[in-house]
Amino acid sequence: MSDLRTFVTLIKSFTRESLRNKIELFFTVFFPLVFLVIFGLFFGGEAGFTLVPERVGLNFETERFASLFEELESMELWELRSFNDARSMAEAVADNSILIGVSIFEDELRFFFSEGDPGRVSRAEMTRAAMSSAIEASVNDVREIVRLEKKPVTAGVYVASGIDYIISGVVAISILSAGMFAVITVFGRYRKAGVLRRIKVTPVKPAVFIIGSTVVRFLLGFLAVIILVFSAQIMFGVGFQMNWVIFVISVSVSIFGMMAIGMVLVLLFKQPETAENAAGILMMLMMFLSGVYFPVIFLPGWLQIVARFLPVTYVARLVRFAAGIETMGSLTFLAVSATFVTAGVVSLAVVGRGLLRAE
Amino acid sequence: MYRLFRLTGKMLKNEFRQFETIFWSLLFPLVLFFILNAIFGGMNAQGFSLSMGVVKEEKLVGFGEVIDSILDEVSGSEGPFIITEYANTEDALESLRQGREEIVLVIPRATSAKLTAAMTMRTLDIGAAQLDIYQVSGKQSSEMAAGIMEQIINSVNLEIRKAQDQEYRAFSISTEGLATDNQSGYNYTIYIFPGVTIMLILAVALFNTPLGLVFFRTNGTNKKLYTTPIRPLEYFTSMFLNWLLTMVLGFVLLMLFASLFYGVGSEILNLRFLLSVFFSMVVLLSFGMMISSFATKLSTATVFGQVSMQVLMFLGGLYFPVFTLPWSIRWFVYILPTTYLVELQRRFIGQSVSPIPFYVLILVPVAWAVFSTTVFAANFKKVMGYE
Repeated sequence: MSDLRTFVTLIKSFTRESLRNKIELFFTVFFPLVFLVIFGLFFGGEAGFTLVPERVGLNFETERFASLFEELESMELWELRSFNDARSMAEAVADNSILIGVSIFEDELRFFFSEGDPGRVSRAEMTRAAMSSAIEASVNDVREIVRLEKKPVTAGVYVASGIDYIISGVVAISILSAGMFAVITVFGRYRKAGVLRRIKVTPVKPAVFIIGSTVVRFLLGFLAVIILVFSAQIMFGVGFQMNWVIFVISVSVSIFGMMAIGMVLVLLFKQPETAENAAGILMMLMMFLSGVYFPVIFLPGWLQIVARFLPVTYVARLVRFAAGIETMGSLTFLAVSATFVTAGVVSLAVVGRGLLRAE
Repeated sequence: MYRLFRLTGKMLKNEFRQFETIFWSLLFPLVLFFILNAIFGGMNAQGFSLSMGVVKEEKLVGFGEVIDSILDEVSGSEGPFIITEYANTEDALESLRQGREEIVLVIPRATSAKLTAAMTMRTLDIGAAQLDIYQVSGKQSSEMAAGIMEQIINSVNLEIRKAQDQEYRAFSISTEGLATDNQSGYNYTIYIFPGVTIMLILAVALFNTPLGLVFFRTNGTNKKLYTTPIRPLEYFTSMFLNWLLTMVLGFVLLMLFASLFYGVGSEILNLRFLLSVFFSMVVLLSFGMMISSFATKLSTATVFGQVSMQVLMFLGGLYFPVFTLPWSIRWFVYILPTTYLVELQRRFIGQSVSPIPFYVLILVPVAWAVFSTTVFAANFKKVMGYE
């Protein structure tokens, strides 16, 4: 009973402390929203990987193929624009009015595309290949011998779009941030400020302190994720078909798992600032390598292997499963959840008790 | 003057005693440069490995064996696909949904017969042999894999026709990448170098500058210094030089790292590029000083600094071009100083990605520098805690 009272008192104190600490509140709850807006805008619109028809410019340097424009347009694969000269078409490519431009000569197809954006270059490459095949097929009156019929299917419970994948990644990153930074704040900063030493001389049991201090951060992290999901639905119209039971389980176990990473950093680095910096690097690494913002297949082979061991890869999969974007086998779900919970509980128990052990 | 240099030296020493400065200004840019290069550096050059499930509803015979040849070709050592055969469509689609396959190709019954008919009875339009490709909607890698497969099939149709028609007109393909300096060509390592340079400048301008100004004011250091013969302007100048030197040190380290490990050299060792880096430092430092004018507390300075950092980094086009963003947000891109500064630097090393006129690349940052300095000057006494 006494432990319960202590626990409740600790919860109240930590809640007040968390709410008074505006920086912590900002970075836990509101900072992920900054990422949501930036990445939502970046990858959600026409800059994203979407299936809308690409805008292509055509410039005929020979009269022979003048009828090509209508023939290509009738295929309804691209949004075509005609240009009188290659220069104005190149300018249109440069200011992004069109993705690529093609000048058609007697025996040559000259393609213009913008350099610098890896995602855009990939789209331009695909469009270039499709366009050159279509032109050659049209000029030579090629009859299709083999035809490929594309059939989009859903991997989850609804037909997801590119933005749904991106936003689920932002949610995964915010879970990482909430879990990892929370324990660094609690154990790193409290250790430095001497709070842990003072707690040691009180009758508060280490386990009660650890649970009390982490529960508040856990709930704050959870609140941040909820705000993020609703904001994403309002701002970007993501079509998540959320299974709330799986969502609550997924987010809970994931925060636990990410807390384990934070605890390892607290253990490795004595100064909380150093631990926070190391966490910053880890976060950046995981953002780029875990397939959250672009497919892992883009990475070099050795980095693809690294990506398989990054926990955020699995957090993103859990979030996508909960949001109905992808499916996941029951065994996989249980295995990932159990791994995260075990890692979180063991690290909190071992490292936390170690930090609170009487000297 | 001696007093100024001495004070600057002490401040620099104090700056580098903090691990955060060493980390964010010196180490982090190197880590970021490495990560970005590792991911995007060889992105278009390397071969992707995409998994494809194949379901053959019949054994391919006769002309149908063309499909087998295509599959052998695309899954060979040079091909982009790794193929797994499935006994039925349901199992293959389940693997697709579970993420084990990027696409599933289903070869329906009677494909061999249709292919044979289409290839032998050329005068009759009996239709093409249809293959079904299943892709996961919204999943980039799956849509890309389906696109690649579609191109391969298109090429097959062209090749068949080419073999049958001696008057077939084949086009030679040439590409022209659009950058300001076409002679140098696009190179991701050089392209990203200004992005990381601006990031390290931002780290000092948005973290060290406002935090340093607010910290020294709130902890009373300024008041103590004002009791000495040091004048506020002298004190501020030494602070400014200290941040500038921190940026220069970070930049030199990044240059060394890039030239030692990535062979970047002559492209960035040109005077115009180096001057544009210095220009960026001055403009963004004034931006950081302006932020400190709005922040009365350390916490406010941290929040302002972090939010500005993310916005200036990502919407300023440091890592990805931002000129494809929808106009609802693109107007904002055109307001930010980093958009112009990074483009200015890229233009001097032949990696330009924007058609913005050169004079605008100078005018907008200058306008920002003048505006920021005016705001800071108007709040000088408040910011420096000078009574």
